[in-house]
Amino acid sequence: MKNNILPSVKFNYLKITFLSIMLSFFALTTATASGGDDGKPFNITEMINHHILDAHEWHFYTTIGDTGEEHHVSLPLPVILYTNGQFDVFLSSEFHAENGIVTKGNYKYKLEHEHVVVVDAQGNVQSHVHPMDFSITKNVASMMIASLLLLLVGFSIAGAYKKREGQAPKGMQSFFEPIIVYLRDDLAIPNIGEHKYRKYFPYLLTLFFFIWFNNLLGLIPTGANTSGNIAFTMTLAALTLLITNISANKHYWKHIFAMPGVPIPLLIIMIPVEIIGIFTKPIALMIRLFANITAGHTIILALIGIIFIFKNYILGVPIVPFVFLMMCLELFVALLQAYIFTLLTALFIGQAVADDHH
Amino acid sequence: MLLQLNPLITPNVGLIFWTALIFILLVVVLGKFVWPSITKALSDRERSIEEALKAAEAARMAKADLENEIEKIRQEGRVEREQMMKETRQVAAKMEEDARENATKEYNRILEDAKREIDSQKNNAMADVRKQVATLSLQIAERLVKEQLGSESAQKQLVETYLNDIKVN
Repeated sequence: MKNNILPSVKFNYLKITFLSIMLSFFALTTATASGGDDGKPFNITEMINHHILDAHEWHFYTTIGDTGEEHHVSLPLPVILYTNGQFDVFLSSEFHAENGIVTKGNYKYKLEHEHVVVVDAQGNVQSHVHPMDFSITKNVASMMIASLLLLLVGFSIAGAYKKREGQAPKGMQSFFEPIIVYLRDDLAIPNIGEHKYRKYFPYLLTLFFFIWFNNLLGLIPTGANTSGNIAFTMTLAALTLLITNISANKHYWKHIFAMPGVPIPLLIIMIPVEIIGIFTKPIALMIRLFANITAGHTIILALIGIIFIFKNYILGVPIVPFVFLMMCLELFVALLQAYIFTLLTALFIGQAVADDHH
Repeated sequence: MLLQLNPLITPNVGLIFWTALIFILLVVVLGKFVWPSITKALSDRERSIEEALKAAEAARMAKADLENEIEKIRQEGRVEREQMMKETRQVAAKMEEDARENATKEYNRILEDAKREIDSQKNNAMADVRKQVATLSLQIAERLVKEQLGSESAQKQLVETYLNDIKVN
C-alpha cells in the first residue's frame, strides 16, 4: 500500500512545486503588468481562485461595454439557505440587485467572496448568525449533470445488455464493458477476494464512474472544479471510511487493538498509531484527489494566465500547444485518479474483510 | 482559523450534503437497476462462451477421433487390398505355372504319342514294304527263275550267289 501512495504523493509535490514557482513568477509580473486596457490590474491569483472555487452562479464569459463596465454572462443558480430554522430559496441573480443585499424574512443576505453572510440594515456582516448554505452551486450543478450523464450511460448500456442478450457488445456498451471487466478482474477481485467482492462491486463501480465523470466535466472550459473541491473528496473519502469500518471483521479490529505477536508494552504505541491509521488512509484519499485535480486546473489556468499577464496574444503560440499537452495529461489524470481512488477503496475494504492469514 | 482563511481547503457543508445525497442516490439507483444486470449479463456471457469453447473442444476431439477411425479403416482397407492383390497375383502366377506345366505335359504326351504312332506307322510301313518287297522279289525271282534257270548250271550258280549274299548279310 505504501508503494502505491508514494509515487502519487511525489507527483503531487512536483506539481505543487511547479505551481508555486509559476505563481511566484506571476506575482512578480502582475506587479509590473498592472493597468491594462480596462484600467484594471490583472490578478492571476484571483482569476485562478475564481475558476477553481465553487460559485453560486455558472459564469460563462464577461464582455466589456463601451463605457468600460463589465457584463457577466452567467447562469443563475438556486440559493438555498437555512438560517436558524428558516429556509430561504431564491435565485443567485438576486444578489446582483443594488448593494447585493437580498432580504428574506428576518434576514438580509449578502454574497462575500462566494460566501453567503447575514448583514444588518447598514450592510455590516453579522458574524454571530451562520446561515447554512445548501445552494445548488456550480459544483453541485456540474455534479448533477455528471450524475445524469452517468445514469443515462448506465441505463443505456444496461438496456443494451438486456436487448442484445448473449451477443457481442456494441457501441457505448463495447466502450464501457472492458472498463467494467477490468475493474472487476483487476481491481475488485484481487483486492477484496473472489467470494466477497460481489457485495462491494456496485459501490466501487459507481465510485469510479462518478469520480471519472466529474473529473472529465471539470476539464471542459467553463466547467466546475467539482472533483477538485475538498468537500467533494472529503465526502467520498468519508464514505470509504464508513464502509471499510462497518464491514470490518474481527481480524481487522484485532490487528488494530491487539496486533498478534506484538509485546504488550509495544501495543501502547501501536494502538494509537493503528487508530490514527484508520483515519489517515481516507484522508490521503481525500487529499490525493483534491490536489491532483485542483493542481491540474491551476496549471492550465496559470499557463493561460501568462497571455493575460503580458497582454500579448503572440504568447498564445507557445502556450496553447503546451496547454493542449497539459489537457491531454489531465484527461489521463482524470482516469488515473478515479482509478486510484477506487483501487485504494477496494484495497481498504479488502484489508477490512480479509480472513486471518496468521 | 488557518483553514478558514484558505477557501480552497475549507469544505462547504452544502457541497458535502449534495455530494453525499447525489452519490448515495447514484449508488442505490445504479446498484439496483444498472450494475447487477450488467455484471449478470457479463458473467452469463462468459459462462456461455466458456461452454461454447468446451463444446467446440469436445467436437474437435470427436472429429479427431472420427478422423483417426476413418484413417484406420482406410489403412486397413489399403492393407487388405494389397494383401488381396498379392494373393491374386500369386494365384495368377500359380495358375500360369500350372497351365504351363500342364501344357508341357500335354505337349510331351502328344509328342510321345505322336512318336509312338510314327514309330508304329513306320514299323507297319516297314513291315508292309518288307512284305511287298518280299512278294515283289519272289515274283521277280519266279520270273527270273522261270527265264534263266532253264539250265542246270545257271541254277547252281544262282544258288551259289544267294548263299554268298546271305553270308554277307
